[in-house]
Amino acid sequence: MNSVLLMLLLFAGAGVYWSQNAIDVRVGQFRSTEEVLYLPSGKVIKTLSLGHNGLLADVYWMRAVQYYGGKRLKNEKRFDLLDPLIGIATTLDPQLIHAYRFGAIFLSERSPVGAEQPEKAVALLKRGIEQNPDEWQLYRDLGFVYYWYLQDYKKGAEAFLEGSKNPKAAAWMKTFAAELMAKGGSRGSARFLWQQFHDSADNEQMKRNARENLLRLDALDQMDILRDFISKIEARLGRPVESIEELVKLGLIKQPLDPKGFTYVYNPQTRTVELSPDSTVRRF
Amino acid sequence: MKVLHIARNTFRECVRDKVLYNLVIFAVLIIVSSLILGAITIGDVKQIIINLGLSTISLFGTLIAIFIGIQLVHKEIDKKTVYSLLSKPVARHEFILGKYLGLSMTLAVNVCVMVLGVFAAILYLRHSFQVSDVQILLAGVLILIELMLVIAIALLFSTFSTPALSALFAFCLYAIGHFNTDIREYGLSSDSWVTKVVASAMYYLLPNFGNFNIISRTAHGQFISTQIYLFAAVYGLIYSLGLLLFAMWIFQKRDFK
Repeated sequence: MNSVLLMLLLFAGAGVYWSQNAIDVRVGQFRSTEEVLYLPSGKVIKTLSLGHNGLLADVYWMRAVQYYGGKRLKNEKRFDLLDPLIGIATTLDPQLIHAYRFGAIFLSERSPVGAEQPEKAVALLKRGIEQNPDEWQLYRDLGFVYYWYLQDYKKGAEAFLEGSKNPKAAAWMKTFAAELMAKGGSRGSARFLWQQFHDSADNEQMKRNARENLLRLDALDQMDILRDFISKIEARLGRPVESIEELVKLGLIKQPLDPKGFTYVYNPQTRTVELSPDSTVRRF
Repeated sequence: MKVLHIARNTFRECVRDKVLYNLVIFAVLIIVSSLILGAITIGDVKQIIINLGLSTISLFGTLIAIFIGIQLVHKEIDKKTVYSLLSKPVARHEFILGKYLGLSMTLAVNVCVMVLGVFAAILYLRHSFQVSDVQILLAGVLILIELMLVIAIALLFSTFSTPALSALFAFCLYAIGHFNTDIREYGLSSDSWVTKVVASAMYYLLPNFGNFNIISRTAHGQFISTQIYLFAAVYGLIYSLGLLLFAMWIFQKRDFK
């Protein structure tokens, strides 16, 4: 009797596995998450949560992270649900600081890395500051979004200055606000800021993002040096240079590599040095 | 003494009914969460573990409190064991109180073990504790008091209604108890004085479960004043006592012939 039951159980298990696979094949092996929020209002969800809003906030934040990660893996450029998901998570738990901070990065980063919606990131961070006025890092992030993604140096400097009034704020924020007002979007300021982000990051994702941007700045510096060098060589040779490889063959330089180890490309038409199409250094 | 005997028997009955099996589900949930959360989210995993742990304690406890609570009296009447019990020198109020304390003891054990599970998960993740982690213990105490209130509600309904209806009423009251603040807000924003009075009356009459909700703040390690804990505990205990007295009064009046 027992062996018959066991057989039937195994049979049922195999049947479920087989039929589920049959459905998956017909619907699409990896069914994409429906781009629908059944309950779009965080306030409604909070009311219905029966006091478990903290747990639901975590669930919505996880959903936002998975949504963002899924889109990145598939190299999709639209992140329509990202802002609403982060909005719901932060409405359910207004003290969910990492949702404001990472959410702002996800929203601001240029496509395809992010949603390229820095205005929404600004709105998110302003909501975060309203709910958590003592969190100086939110001011820093707001200043950074203004500075880096919106190139609004005045508002960026104002945000850094406002944040620097917090006794816990990093000492550099005040001086950086002044520098931003004076120099605007110089590469030196950008490097300084990314370095601060890198050094103060309390998790690997944030550190990696800062590292990628620092590498990009290194690549920009190297490309400037290369372009200047090529101009000088062209003046000395009295003819245009066709490629970097030509300079290498002439023994003038060793093959220059970008921070990720890929070769640079010289475009004789535009007279610019560019990243190789294969390079994994960020391009914007 | 008689009350304690009934309480002890109720506790044994709950254990025999395998109520504490939910601890296994909780353990699996916490262990799996501790292992995988870091890979699927960004941010403070400890905060999620506290949210998840305390919310699960509250949810499991509420389900046990309602579904076992509504059976406490009904089962004795259904099996006719209440006749032999009440024919002994046991007062009806002692019977109700004993049943209440028995289930409360069961849930106290449940909450204690689950809180220890949350601490174990934190220790696994962080390899140390912080001073603010004491608040998890205090949140556990408040959850237990909240659950004792739910038991009192379920017990009250079970003294005069069927188990199905008692469960429905108890759950509705539990849900309404979470909307209590909204009811008051609605009344305050109304122009009608009748609405204001009714909303205000409902606010004080209905149990306010929002008083016990400190899970989110505990997860963020925010300081919560001792007075909030104390007043919430006093509120819960007094409200439960009121419901118990009401349940005893109804049970006293009930005719078993």
